[in-house]
Amino acid sequence: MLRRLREPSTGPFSSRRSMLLLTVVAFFLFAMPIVMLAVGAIRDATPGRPAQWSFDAFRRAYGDAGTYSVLGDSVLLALGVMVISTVTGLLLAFIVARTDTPLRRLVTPSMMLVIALPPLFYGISWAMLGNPRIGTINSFWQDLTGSETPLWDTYSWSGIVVVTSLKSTAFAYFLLLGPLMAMNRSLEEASRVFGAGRLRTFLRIDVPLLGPSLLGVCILSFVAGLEFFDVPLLLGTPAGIDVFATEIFSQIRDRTPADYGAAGALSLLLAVVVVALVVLQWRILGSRDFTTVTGKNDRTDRWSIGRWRWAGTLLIVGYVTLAVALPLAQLVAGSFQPYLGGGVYSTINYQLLFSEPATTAALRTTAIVAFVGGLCAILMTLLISYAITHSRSRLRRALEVMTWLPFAMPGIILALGIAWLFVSIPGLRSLYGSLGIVVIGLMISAVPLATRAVQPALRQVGRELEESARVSGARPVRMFFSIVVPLIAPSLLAGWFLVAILVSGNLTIPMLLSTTDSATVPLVVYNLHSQGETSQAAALFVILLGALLALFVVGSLTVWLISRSNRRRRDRTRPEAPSADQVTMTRPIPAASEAGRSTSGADVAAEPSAAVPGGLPTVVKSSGFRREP
Amino acid sequence: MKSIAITALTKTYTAGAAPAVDRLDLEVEPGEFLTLLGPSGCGKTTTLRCIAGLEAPTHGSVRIGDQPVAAPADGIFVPPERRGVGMVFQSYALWPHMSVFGNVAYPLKMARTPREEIRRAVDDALTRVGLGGLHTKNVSALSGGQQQRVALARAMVGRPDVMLYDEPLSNLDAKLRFAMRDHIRSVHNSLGTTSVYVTHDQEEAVALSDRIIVMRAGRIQQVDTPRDLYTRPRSTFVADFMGFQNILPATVESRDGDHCHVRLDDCPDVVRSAYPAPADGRVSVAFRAQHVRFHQPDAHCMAVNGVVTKATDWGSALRLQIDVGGHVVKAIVDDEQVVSQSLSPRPGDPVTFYVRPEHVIVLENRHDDEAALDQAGEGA
Repeated sequence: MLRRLREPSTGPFSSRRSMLLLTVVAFFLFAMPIVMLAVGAIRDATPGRPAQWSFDAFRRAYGDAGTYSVLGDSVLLALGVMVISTVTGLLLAFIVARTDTPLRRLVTPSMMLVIALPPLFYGISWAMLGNPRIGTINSFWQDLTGSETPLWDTYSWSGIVVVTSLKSTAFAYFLLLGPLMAMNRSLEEASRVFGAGRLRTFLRIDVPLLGPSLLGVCILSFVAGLEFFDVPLLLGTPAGIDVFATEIFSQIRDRTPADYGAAGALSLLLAVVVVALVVLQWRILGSRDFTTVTGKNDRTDRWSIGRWRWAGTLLIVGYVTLAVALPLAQLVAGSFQPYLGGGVYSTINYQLLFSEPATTAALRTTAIVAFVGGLCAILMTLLISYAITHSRSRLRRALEVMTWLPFAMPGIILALGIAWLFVSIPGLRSLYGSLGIVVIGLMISAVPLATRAVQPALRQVGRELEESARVSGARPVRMFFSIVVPLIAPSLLAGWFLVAILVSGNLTIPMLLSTTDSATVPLVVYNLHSQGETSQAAALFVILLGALLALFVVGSLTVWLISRSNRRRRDRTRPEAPSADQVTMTRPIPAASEAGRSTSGADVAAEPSAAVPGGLPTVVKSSGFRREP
Repeated sequence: MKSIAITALTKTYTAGAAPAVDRLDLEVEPGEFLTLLGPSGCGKTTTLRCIAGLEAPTHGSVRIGDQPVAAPADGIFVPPERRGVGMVFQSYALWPHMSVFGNVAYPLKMARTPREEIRRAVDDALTRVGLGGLHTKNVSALSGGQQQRVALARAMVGRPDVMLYDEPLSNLDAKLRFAMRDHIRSVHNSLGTTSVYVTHDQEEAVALSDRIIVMRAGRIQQVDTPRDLYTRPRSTFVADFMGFQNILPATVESRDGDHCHVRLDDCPDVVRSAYPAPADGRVSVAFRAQHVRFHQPDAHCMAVNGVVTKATDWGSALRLQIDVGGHVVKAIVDDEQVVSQSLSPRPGDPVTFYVRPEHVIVLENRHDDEAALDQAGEGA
């Protein structure tokens, strides 16, 4: 049988024609929101109203002296976050990777938890802990000392900086852990032999060797600091403190009529700054792997740091207390108090919540959004990643660049751009306010994380496995579903669970895209909190966390079972199976940058291989394990 | 049994770069076992992949039987799944999520074969490669040699007209290679397929093939039977690739019908070749190290004088390096010669050696051509 084609197809996505649809969809989802944002800023009118084309919005946004003070404050916040999280992350990573400090095994699991916990969680729990009048820390302090002044008011700059740093420290930690573990111990020993002390060795040898990684982490945590939305919203707004992201939001919420033009104009600046920094970071680090831990360097001997190890333990305990134990305990305890800071413990909040149909509606909405959005994100990423790795068309580059865009987009900007996009296109206007747009928004925001889960797995599937299926008579689609998908199924499943978990904690996207009918749990939590019903908000959040925990347990168990049965079948008579290779975690740059960057809530990215017990299942390259170099 | 006809096949990966395959013409007879032989990057694998349909040629055409399967000029491209070929890959390319049976049955399932027939055909294929009874095993639980045999069974289970082999033995150790070679050749013989085999190992090519094509930089260097290729390479490149350790510059001294005499450069000695000399007087002389003799085999053999520079005893043979007018001649002297002539050369000793005229190949010098090829090289 002959087929006449303009471009012969040697596989899925091998010709430009087959790439076109995917590229168009990707352009629409990833690039159009930003384009619409720019258009919206010039259009200068509420979505749906007739346009008044002008640059007036820029004048309003940038003519205001207040904008510059917000800008300056945001930069200061970002610098603070950068310094604190990089230093803390570096110290903790060093302690874990290189020393014999007690309790060091506690750090990595805690860090995973910090990454998995939504930023909103930190906003709420620290709002409860550090409320100047009734916050747990402050009332405890006042009861203890009889003092009238609060110990630490978290509704303040220091509160915002410290709480956001707690979260972004986890990203810095994971990005630095790899390089530290891969570092050659003998370099340190040489320094010691030539008479340098431990501290000097750390400063003169370790730090410079880490230089590029450290610089990358600095830039990323700076960007993360610029993008923070949830925590400044909860802790800053009551105290009259605004940062860039909340300022953009307040142009819409606090103005009547909402000033979409000014919000767009401000967003553009933030977008430009963020993209420039991310590009700079890629430039500095090139395209090499951010961290590579190989079995070779897996030396167990560690520095014995003497008395300093107790300082290390103190740091670990301090961090885990502030970032995990205290906020979690506060949230749970607070959920059982009738009102914040007092009352007899009871389940009244839960009863009130469940008497409200809105609660179950929000839970259902969240479940749908998380599962559907997560599934869409994974499938979308699977198609795009597959196309990028398999296409020889030039469109591949365009596709690649487009998938990087959500990496570099703060959640608030993404949400605004999506809102613009859907309102401006006639056929899609009906979607606005529906659940569909929330799903789409969350899907786009989840693409960076999904990419982290899918791409490494896909890269491990040897090309010959696909080719042999084609030669065996399978059409491209058949081959894809009978060979590629089953091979990476565990990774896809793990990615889906992860994305679902992180999507369901996202506040930024629903904040701008949801209506009362399509409110997700984070949005309801925020609304309850801002109406003063903080205890109920806490209770609802506890329910969400409980559901996520259950999902996580079920998900990890499923993935673990699948990969175990795969591994069993594989390893049965292969004593020489390369177990050392399984600790290899490679992190390509776009992914790495995303992991550190996306603390803004929209796209909280975890270390996929770390967040699921046992790591992402490794897929075999092909069954031949003796490859010629 | 189908023929394969390749006409002016060209494959360029990046526009402007040297093509991986360059205007290649090739005809494979029905039932023939043909090997594409050459160093890595010579375009042999690209050619094979163009036959399989895994690559689309840039120019030219590929025809399997009387059906054109790739002809970009006419807009024809038949995807791999419709070409009716079987292929064995270098990395085995077995699917780790399927059992042995699942792997072998896959091509038949794709062809919508009835279940009963699948069972029978898989049984037959596995028996042919000596793996009967391993159906339920997971492929990763097999040894490398067994895995490659499963791959062979999978490739042939659908009784394809054409079998393609992409360096199938290079991941196996030496012992398994011999066994696997026999399996491949017996599958070819008993099924009567047309086979195209790609390898960089000349010994493998000689042992398996009916005909061998030596490739370099996307072009055919020589097409010959294994015997002819082994004994009479037509260019210095092929001679070097086929294991002629000694390729020395020389000048034609005299022509004598089918024979000729050539003088080695920088050396007064002349050797006789049983082959006619090329038109150009500047030539290269090629002979194998094993063919160097230290006594005169017959009166036609002419003596060459040199000085031993290195002697290494490998037990089974003595390996010598002899300086002849500044050029190094390598000689391998087997045990028998060593004993019968009580040879014990040491560095610095002068020696006289002989090579039978029929072992001396006289090759045209095409240095310019080769320099150009070397620069163009490295395609696939």
